[in-house]
Amino acid sequence: MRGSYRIAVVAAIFALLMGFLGIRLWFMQVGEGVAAAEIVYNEGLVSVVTPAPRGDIRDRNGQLLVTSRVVPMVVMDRKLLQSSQKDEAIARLSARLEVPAEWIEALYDEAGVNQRFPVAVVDTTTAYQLEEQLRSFPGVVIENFPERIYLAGGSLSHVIGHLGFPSADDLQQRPYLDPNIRIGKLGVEGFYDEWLQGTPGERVYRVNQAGRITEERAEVPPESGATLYLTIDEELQRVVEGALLEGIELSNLIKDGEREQPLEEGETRAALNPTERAAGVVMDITNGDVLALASYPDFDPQEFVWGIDRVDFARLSNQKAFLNLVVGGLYPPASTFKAITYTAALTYDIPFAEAIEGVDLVNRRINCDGELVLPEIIDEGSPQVFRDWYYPAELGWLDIHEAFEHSCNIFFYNVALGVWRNWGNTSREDILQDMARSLGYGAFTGVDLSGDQAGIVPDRELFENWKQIQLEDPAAPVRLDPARLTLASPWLGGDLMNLAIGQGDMLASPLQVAVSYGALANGGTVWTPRVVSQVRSPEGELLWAALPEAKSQIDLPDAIVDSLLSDMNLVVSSGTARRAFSDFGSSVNLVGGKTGTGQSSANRDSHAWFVGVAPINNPKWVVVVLVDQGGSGGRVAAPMGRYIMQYLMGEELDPIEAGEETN
Amino acid sequence: MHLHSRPTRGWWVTEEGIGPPDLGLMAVVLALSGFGLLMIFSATRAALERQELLPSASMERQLGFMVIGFVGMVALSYVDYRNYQSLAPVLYLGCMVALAAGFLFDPVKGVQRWITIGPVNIQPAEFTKLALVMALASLLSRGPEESYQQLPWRKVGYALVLLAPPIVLIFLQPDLGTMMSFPFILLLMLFVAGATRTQMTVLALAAVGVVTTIWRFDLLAGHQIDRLRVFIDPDLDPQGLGWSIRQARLAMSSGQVTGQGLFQGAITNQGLVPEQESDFIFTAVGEQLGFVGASVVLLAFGYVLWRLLRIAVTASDQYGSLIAMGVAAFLMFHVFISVGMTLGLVPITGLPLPFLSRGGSFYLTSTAGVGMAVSVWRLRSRVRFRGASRDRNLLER
Repeated sequence: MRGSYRIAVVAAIFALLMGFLGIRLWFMQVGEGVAAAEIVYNEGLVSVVTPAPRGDIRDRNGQLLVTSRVVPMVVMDRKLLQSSQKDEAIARLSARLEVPAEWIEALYDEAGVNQRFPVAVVDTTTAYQLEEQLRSFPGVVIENFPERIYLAGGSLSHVIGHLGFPSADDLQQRPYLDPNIRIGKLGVEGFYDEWLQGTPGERVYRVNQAGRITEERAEVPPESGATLYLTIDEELQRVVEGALLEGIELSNLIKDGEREQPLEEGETRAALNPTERAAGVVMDITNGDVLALASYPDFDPQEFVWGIDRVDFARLSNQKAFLNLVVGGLYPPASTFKAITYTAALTYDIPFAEAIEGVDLVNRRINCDGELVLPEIIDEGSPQVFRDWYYPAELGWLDIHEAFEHSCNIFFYNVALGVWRNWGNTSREDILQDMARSLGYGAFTGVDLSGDQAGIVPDRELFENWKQIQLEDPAAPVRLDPARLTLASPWLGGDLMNLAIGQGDMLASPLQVAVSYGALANGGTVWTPRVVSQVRSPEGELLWAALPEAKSQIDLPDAIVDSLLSDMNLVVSSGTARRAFSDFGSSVNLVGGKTGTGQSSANRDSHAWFVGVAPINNPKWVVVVLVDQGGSGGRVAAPMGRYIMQYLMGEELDPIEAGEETN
Repeated sequence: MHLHSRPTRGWWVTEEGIGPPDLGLMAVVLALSGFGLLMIFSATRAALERQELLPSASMERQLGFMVIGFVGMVALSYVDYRNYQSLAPVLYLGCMVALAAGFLFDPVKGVQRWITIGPVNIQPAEFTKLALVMALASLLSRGPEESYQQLPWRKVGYALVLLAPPIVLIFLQPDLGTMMSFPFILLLMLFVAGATRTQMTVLALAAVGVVTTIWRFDLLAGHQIDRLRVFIDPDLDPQGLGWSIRQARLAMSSGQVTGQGLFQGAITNQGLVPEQESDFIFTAVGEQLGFVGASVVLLAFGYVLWRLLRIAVTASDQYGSLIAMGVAAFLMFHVFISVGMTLGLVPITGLPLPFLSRGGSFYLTSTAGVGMAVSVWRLRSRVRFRGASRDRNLLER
């Protein structure tokens, strides 16, 4: 082969390769060019989300509680700022707004994908002046930003909630959220966030290399969120909040007085297990509307609007200020639970435990002399001597009505013992628990707030589960006394006796107590409590209405309802809450209540409970007050409940003073 | 002697018997280089401006190389390429030493490709291309009589021995694109030097065998395998390489028929294509000047390659012919890979586009190669490079 021939072959290969490139070039640029150009064009557009004003929140009477207003916001847009101007621009802006330059610098570095960040809210005068001088503030844009305004101040914080940036979880569940726009957290701000949020607007523009906007498309304005109408009555809410704060103070005064040495100079309550936490709720028992709901400690949602200081947030976290005790605080319901035992005893005609000293089977009375001695029943694993809270005082022989009035534990122990002795290990063994569950205990209330807790209604099955877990996993939390693990069944008669007075492992939230008393008083309707009744568009059009929703309906004979209500009236007129209600007013015979003093673990003070129902001739409201480690129910909680009920009944409000030391 | 007096008149014939340079070839190289400056400016000005540097800084630096390279090209075209044929082994060895010395310097972006002397970064691998072409041409060229006989296996063996050191050294840098150019150069030069069909087949099979062996027996280190995987399938690295590929292809496609206009390319202006002023310079052409501009550039390269092959045909000796062939081979390889990767035809690998891309080492190598080829052209046989006539011409000298 000659060289030139071989070079011709190479030339042919080269021509092939070049032709290949040419053809491919044609297909790419002429074939796909239009589509590619469109992609490039669209990618060159800058889209800026303009946050929508969140919807208003109003109380049941239309009183405005939370709203949004538009404020001028100084925004820095990195795309409009040449990097060469950056330091000077930040320095100038910092000087003008009196915001530290390092702070703007940090925001600049953190700026998200759209490379814009709000710097500070300014007053209209400053905004106007800046707008005039924008030339000397490169990269700065003045925008109208919605700002959340909490007109109720710190009041209602656990119902309303607060704002915050979406968490990683939020973004995972709702991927359409803009991570730079705050959403509602807790309360109705969180629960109804979708309604409140509104629809963000959008501005689309193109920026050239020099940082000038070269093209601006029609702006889509943001749409305000919808308005929530709460079931809350703001005025009643203030009364409840006042009652709780005064009750906490009262509890602390009592604690000071009980202390052998009064507070010394410089000594603070903090070191002395002070009372700090309390919850109160008022519910309409004809439909489940929550009329007032308060929990302390609380927070001021206004502090969260532009982001809360890390230190403040840590402080609130440590105080557990974000825990709404009404829905999420679990406590032994204590003597308030006697209403359930009482109703079960009458409904199922629970036979008395026979062959026990102090039982009068003929008159259905029990000797409530402050001590129940069970010498022979070791197999029940129970303490053999049950002392009542008023031991060594003696109340004599009481029937169930008097026992309820005076909150006699021994009587209700006997009811449990009756169940245990007569129906133990049968299907009727759990009638107390079944009654409790049918009234809403041990299950979520379904309230439209976050943090709803189910609580615990203990029974044989639960204890056997716990035993199983504890045997299988030595690291599991110790719920049962290790001595019980050797028994065939760890569920003992003493546990049922404890349950009958709302102690032992029974746990319930104040809202569950309110719902259950509501059902007992209204003839058996267990309402799903709710705090929002309507959602309306900003123009007032009804978008959604919460209809009263009965969670369940139980059969309660009228006679039993009437009996319970009149016995609750005895509690306030001559029973454990009588001192608290002594100056109630003329309608005192129309209100009823029940005190409770929950024992928790050692080294902690008792939790004070009061449940009130009014008016008892036509029940409308249930009031529940709980003071965490507040002391005696009759002494601390009953006066608080009384104060709220005075308001409900239109009586003159008396100051909250110590009631009677009771269970 | 009587042939000299023969009336073989042509406008190129000088009294000394040396023809004029290939002005067309040099003009197109100059045009491509000037056009390259414009493209480099369009691709770098925005980024330089952002760094508060002179927007033309990058272009001006390249202009310096262009002046040196073009002066070198003209100078080489006036020097008889045979005068320094004996330097080929020295240049080759020098390049090997320089390649090895590269490993003494700190790696740049993870590869040991550069030798840094003061403000100058030298890539010995680029110069190696021309040195290898000279060495192979020297080795493979034979006298007129032997040139018709089949290439002895011994020479094929020597050629492979010459190929091995640069391949190994560049593989270790690593610079797979440049590494692959050497076998391409070798195969074309052996073919033109007269390798038999058997020799070509054996070499091709050997190449396949080597690649397979390396791949099958995991002779590569882990990171080299990763590099190769991404080299073969860019989607394995969607954030890095994959993104670059997408931007490069979008830039090309969106140029459409007539381009977005000079300095109007959205992707080029935003600097979204990495290394756009060097390996991806063709995307700047494609986006701004479209199919029209890009095909003119391809046609210009076609002209350059055609002229080089033409020089190879008309060379007065086999050494000159192989020089022109080798220069054409590495320019073809660079054009095909550098353009092909912007078109999605070949995997992404860093190879500059001749004359257009920023960078000194390869620019000087390319212009020097063209200069030598022009020298071959000037000293070509004035009778067509065919059989006896060529012999007569050689005998005459």
